[in-house]
Amino acid sequence: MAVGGVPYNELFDIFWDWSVVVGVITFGWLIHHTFYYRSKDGEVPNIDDIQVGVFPKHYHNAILEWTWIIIPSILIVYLAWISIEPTSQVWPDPDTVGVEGVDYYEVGITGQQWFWIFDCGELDVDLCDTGVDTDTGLTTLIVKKDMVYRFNTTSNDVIHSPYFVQWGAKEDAVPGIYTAIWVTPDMTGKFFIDCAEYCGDDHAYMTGILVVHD
Amino acid sequence: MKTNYRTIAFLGILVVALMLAPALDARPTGINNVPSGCSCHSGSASSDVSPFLTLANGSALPDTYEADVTYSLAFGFTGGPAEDAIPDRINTGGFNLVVSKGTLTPTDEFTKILAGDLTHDEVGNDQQSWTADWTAPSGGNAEFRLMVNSVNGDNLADSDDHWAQATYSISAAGGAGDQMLEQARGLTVLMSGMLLVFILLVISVTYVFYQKNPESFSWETFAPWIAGWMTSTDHKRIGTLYFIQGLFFFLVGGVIALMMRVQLSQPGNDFLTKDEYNQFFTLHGTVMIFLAAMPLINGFANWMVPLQIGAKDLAFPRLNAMSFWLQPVSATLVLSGVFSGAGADVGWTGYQPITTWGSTHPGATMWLAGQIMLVASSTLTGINFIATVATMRAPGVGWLQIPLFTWSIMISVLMLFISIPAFGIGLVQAYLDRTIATGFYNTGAGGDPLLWAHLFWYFGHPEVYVVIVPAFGIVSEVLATSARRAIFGYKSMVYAMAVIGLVAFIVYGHHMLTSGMSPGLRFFMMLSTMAVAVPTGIKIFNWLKTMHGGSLVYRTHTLWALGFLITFTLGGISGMFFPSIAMDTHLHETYFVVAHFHYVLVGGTVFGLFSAIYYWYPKMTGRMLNERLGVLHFLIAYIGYTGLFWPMHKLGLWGMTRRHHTYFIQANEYSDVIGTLPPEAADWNMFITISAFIFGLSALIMVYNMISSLFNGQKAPADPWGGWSFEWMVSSPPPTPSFDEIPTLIDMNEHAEGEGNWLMKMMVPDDYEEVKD
Repeated sequence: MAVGGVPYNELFDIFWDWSVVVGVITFGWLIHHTFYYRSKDGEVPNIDDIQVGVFPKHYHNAILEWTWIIIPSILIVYLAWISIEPTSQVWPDPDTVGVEGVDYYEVGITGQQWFWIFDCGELDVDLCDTGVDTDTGLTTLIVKKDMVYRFNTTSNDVIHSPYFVQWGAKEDAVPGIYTAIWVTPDMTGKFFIDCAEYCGDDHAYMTGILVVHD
Repeated sequence: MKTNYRTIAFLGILVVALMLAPALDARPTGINNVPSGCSCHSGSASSDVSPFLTLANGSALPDTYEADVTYSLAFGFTGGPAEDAIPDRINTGGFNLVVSKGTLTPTDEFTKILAGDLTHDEVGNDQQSWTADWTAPSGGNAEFRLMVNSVNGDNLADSDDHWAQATYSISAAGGAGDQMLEQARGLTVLMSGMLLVFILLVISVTYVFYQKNPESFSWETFAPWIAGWMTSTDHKRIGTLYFIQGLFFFLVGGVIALMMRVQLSQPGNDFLTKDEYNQFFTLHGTVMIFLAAMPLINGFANWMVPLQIGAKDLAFPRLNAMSFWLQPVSATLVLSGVFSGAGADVGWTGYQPITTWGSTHPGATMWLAGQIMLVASSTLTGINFIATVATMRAPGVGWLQIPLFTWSIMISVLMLFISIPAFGIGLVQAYLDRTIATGFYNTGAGGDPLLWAHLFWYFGHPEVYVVIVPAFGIVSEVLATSARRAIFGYKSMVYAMAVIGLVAFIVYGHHMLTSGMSPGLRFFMMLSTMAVAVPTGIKIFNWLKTMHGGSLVYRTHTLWALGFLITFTLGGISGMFFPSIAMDTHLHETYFVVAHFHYVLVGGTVFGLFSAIYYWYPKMTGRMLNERLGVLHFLIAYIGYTGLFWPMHKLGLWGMTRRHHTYFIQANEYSDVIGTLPPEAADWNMFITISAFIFGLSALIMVYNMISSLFNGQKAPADPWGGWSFEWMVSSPPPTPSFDEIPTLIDMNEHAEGEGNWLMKMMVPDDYEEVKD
């Protein structure tokens, strides 16, 4: 099952295709030259008349050099361009988000060594509930499928980073400020909320459970 | 005599200042002399408040504990103003719990660890009793000190509140108490082993000297020989010292990495404790970057820069010696904490506030101090190389006749010189926070943890270019010489490196793309980061074009340079995935990042350095290396390397997070949790660990090759590979001083009219004379 969320997976496919193109050109060129221009019969010819203490001949080709400045630049501008649009899915404009008349639901996440504290505020139990997972004893957040959630994240001690692996969403939980993570859970089940920013001894165990129901 | 008075006055002031300075440990008495150590509330303890500390099930604290068992504690107080019934009161109680041994862990949101002590937080302020877990140590008496505040609830911290403190002690089961032998920690054993290796190294150096002339061996002859090495200001000898230091710490960092890989080879492994793992990855990063890669680069720079530009030595030879000797001292500081099992455990990035307020290990303070000295060392090196290249070039060596390796060193020290002060400032702030409890990174006192991230990455990003750009220089030299060609596009190579050096300073924010940065800034960082691909691409295509029409002679250094081209290009391509910010939210802090930066730092810097070792070893020692062993090293290392780092990409895409001492796969109690790693992740981790051992052991072939060739290798001619720059003019090894007379560089090119614009003229030294052939 693909992890990382829709914007990530769409972008990844495009970037992957272009990586293959760049890789084939570069490595094809490299492999051709390493075999075609190898020294045959163990000869060590002095092609450019290199001598010790003599700066060798300048050897360049303006058209070629500009070619490999301009073409990669175009590719980069293109890749940057296609990267802009998905950012509005990752960090939506709060004014334009809307599901069934309600914009979005705000849920608090506070990181503390080494567990997550979820805060549903005034939200209805159907939309947001907290608890403790019976199997693992981890703090649990229960949310509803296909609703837009904005997780207002902060920390009580050091920097943490809640990581919703399934949707490829993470943002640092920094003590003293609030950061926002937007997640629209689009499938039901139990999911991990990892900690992605090193926070001390039990960093690896700092997980929470996200339960999504219909 | 005047100087002596001044010295005495300075020492006097220093002694007085040290006496007046607050205690290094800011607790338990606090820097404002509150005897309670509790920064709040009234002046002296009150008898009407009685603290208590029991087990959570209500029974009294036992007299003895079982080693390594976790106990649930309940504690709090009765009496004092908190007992009074005041309606609408907000805060009624507070506490501070310290234990001399074992670990306290909060169990709910009412308590937290602050600067090593357990204390209440804002929610817990409304209570008069709390709970926490205590994990017992492996032996010895543990002492609890509990301080409680009975607060009158008017939400004003003032003298109406009452406080009290009590101590409780508990000893190890079996009555052994402090007498009980503690089991030696694996980390302590390992680091003691490294100390032993160092001592053995010293003994072997003595033996090498003894072997040179066993008849006349005596302290009188040994002392000047070793003193000659230790006090030398000759750039070649200091280069060799850097080189030995770099290789030694390469071994240290490598062993640390292998231990981490053993820990990760299976999910839920307990080869290392989490505490040890955290120290390991911190020291792996610091040791590899600052104590292995940079000294190796400095070793080659020391050796080759004066030789390549035709100078007899560096501009400031004594400063050069000082730059070097700061390194072993700071290395001792950086690693010192580990010998007691309490080394820095904060990650090489040392993020705040975990470095200042999160880590209880004294080693973290030493680690900061050691890095401050490394900053000093790098700054002095920067001054030295910039001055040398700017003023000491031989006649005929204009700015655009400098060999590319020297150019790469010039650009990398310029970057380092401009960026490292920011790091130094951050380190001093963090150091003061830890020692005298200043508040630079204390959010409670208005400090800003993101300030550190900015200071660190403003340095940290140029820093990774500082270690990769010299590898560009090495590969340029090696590929051109091996292909028997002049480098294609010399000028665009220089400009590309300069552009990389400039851009390095405006891309650093991509390390902080998930730190809550504003979207506009994220977009700018995305664009500038992607732009780095253009100058890097120029270099890669120029190298490929250099090979065009050449006659590639396959030697070990050629293989490493070609291997560099493949791995570095792959690392560059994977680097394009991160700046795209919508993807970065998934990839950030995963193994995809680990794979990427090991592809550019190992596949880039280390492969470049391997190439340089095989390329310049004959020049440095006068002996040829064994080619057969060299090729064997390349083949084994390249296979091991690929098996080690390539699968990490896949693990990262699955969402495996870095800096976790263990990981979960979909099995057992997590079987219904989606988002854990698929079961095959465990197999891949085992594969990575095996490959890591292959890669690590292959480096020993090179070490053996270097040592055996030193004694038995063929004698090397002055120019074994057919290079053009000045280092191939002098004998192998070069004489001291490096040139009997300063050579003059002849330029094969006809200079066009009007070449040398105002900028070039300004940068040309005063005694420069145009040499025409």
